[in-house]
Amino acid sequence: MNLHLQLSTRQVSIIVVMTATCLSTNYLMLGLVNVKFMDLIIFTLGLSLGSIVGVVVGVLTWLIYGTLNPYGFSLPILIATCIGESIYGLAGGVLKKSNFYDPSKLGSGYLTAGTKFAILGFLLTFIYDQFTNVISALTVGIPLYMGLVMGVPFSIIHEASNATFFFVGAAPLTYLIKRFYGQA
Amino acid sequence: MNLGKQFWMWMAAFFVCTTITGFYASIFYYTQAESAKANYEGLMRDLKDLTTIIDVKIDYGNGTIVWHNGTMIPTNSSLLTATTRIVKVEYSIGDFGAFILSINGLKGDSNHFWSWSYFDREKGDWVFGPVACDKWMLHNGDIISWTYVEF
Repeated sequence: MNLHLQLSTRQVSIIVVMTATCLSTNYLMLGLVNVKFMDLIIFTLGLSLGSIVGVVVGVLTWLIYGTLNPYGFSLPILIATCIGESIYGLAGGVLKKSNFYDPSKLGSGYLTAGTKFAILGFLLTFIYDQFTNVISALTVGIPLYMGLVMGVPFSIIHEASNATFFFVGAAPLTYLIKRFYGQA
Repeated sequence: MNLGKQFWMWMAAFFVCTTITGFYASIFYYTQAESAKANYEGLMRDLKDLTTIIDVKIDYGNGTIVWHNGTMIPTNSSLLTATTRIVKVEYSIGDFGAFILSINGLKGDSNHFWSWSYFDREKGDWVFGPVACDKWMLHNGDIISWTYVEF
């Protein structure tokens, strides 16, 4: 199979810049467990520039952040988080194709769009959390039920914070990325 | 998709979010409650090994009788220690041991004094306290009575 992935210079540059942004915000917010801007950034990248860009940024960020992580390194969890993070980019890409959001109309209907983004952010984070919790439970060797229950407090924080970030930031960030990229 | 359908789709998605939140909250508080219950039961088990449980009757001599059932006191406590934990006591220490002067403000006088007795399960009757209350060590299940008696 010949997988030919062609990225333009602009796409490569935005991937590099956004990966650096995700990494710096992740390390900056290290003390706030499960509160990260990364998911929002990757989702909006998918929404503005397509799944590939979102997924690549998500995987690259996790490859570095998951390896150089003060909480420790675990290969199965690293793979799970890379796959899990891709969900945001993929979902953004799918929504881009369905013309879910028009960033040029930023301002009008901001609340409605923000609410939709918050719901999406919450649900995507729920899928991500359950997926990573299952993998973590299997990796550590604890019963699946225990893994899911122990992850509840972290999931609550993650989903609530992401819903808030998506509500506030998804629309303007999509607009900014598109504007930077020359599409808005 | 028309606007009405879209609206209800987003409403459904919103309610899925609230259901997930409720589910999380119920699991979180259930585990918290279970953990607190386990801690409490463990603490009570530890406490049981360190405590003696007794029943104490205070008879004020005027028809008022107050029972302090299931009173928990440290293991190897004397009756005086137990009594001071239950009621307000004044006492003096003499050659034979402690003598109770008053309980909850009710003082002995030339015609009245506080005496203690224990319930003998074998005889099924109250037995007058043979020693001073600070010399009588209590055991699990003891039933003690303080009575305000007249000479």
